[in-house]
Amino acid sequence: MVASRFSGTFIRSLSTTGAARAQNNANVNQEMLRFRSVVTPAARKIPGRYGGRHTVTALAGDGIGPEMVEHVKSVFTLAHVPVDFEELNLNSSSIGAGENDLQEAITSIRRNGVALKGNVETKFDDPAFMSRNMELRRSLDLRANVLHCSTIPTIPSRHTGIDIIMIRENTEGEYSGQEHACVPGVVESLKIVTRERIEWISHFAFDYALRHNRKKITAVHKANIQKLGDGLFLKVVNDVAKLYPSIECDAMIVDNASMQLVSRPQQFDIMLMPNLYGNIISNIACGLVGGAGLVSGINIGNDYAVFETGTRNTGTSLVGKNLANPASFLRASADMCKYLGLSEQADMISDAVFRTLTEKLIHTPDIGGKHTTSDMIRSVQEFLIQDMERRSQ
Amino acid sequence: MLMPNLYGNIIGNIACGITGGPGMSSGMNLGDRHAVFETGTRNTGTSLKGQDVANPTAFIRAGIDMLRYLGCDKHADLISDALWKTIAVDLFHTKDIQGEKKASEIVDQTLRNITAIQRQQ
Repeated sequence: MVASRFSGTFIRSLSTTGAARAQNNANVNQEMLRFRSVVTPAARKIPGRYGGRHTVTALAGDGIGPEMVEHVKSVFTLAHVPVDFEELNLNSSSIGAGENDLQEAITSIRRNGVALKGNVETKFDDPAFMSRNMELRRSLDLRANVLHCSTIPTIPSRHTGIDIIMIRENTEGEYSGQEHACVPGVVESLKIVTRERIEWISHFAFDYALRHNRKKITAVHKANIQKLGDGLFLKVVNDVAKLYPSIECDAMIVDNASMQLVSRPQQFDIMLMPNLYGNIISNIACGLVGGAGLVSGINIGNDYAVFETGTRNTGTSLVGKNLANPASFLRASADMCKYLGLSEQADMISDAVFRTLTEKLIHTPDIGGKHTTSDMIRSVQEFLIQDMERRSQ
Repeated sequence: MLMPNLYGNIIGNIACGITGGPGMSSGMNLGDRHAVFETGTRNTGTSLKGQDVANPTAFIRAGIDMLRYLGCDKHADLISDALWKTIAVDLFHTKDIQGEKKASEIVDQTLRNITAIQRQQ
């Protein structure tokens, strides 16, 4: 039974480790704690670990991905994070050799268990060109996509007090890639919904809620129109909810959920969503807390985890300009550290990014500032050095 | 924004959400031969029934759209201007837009504004 996979053996309570750390670090406040990575450390032994060091796959992808991976490497070196990167090419220009690149990437991630990834642009004008990102997710069975959207002080945004975990089904639904045109000009698209995967993602969400002291899960659906597809989703979520009576569970239709999200986002705690609605609603939530440059995203399944930015943009227009916001990538790297059990380094990196944004007010243009990427990286490095000095005393 | 059905549903609701909520926008359903006018976000507002608190703006604007479709431009403008004055100048707001006025007060004020505009014309 799926539930036993997550229960019991390792409940790590975020609050106790956070409290202990708070006593060490005089500058910790509530907001900074909330900014830290919310990833649950991996339950299983991760394959790519040898001699105390982890090897992770780095797929820089298109756009600003390659620059960002370099920044992460420099931060990791400074913070003495015991992670080595196996860097692979996977981007939209490798069309001819496309298949090989993808297979190499998948093999590497299977070997290492973990990857840090930039986005690979999908040329949607060619139906034969399957989305590389989607192929990756399906081959590695990365069933859940998790984002933590929370208000960050000093970042201009429409609302305050937002703290939502978005849990999105990552492998089926409207993204099944099954389409056909029986008659030219009339296209039929199949949305695949399976009990097995919805059960998995529901258990994932409820277990997450238990582990991280969350109170309520809102399931987003359109079962009034898609009575069978979303109907099955809703039914399975409700069946699983009965097994977790301490967690409140309600449902909201996707259009109403979108409207509520932009007018009163404080009402949401965890949102559990099928693939397409999750895509849209996650992006709305990211927009509400400050945009694509700030939120990181976690793709996770039973065996593998891939870390990336929350909104999966390539940032092509910002390539080489030193203006892209590195926060989302750095936060993704912090998520990865937490998953690997490197909790202290994860928190150090998160805290340095938080302080850079909220104390030094170093903001890149996407959040209304005038600073450059290197300004941010430099500041993160300075805060890291300070933090390490404090810890060594 | 030109959208297929589902995305339009979601994005329409988002846009309504950031411009004042379900009580403010009206929606039109148009075909080659018929037209149906309704509120923008298609909520039933069941929890507000019978309490005189629901925002009538969306429905009145739907009526205005209908008048315009029928060619009654003068009447459409008259009601629209009166309603606009009620909300934006007289600041009569219902609970959903952080005000305290009842639905009937919005309507009465709009009727007063209609009469005032008619007298000026």
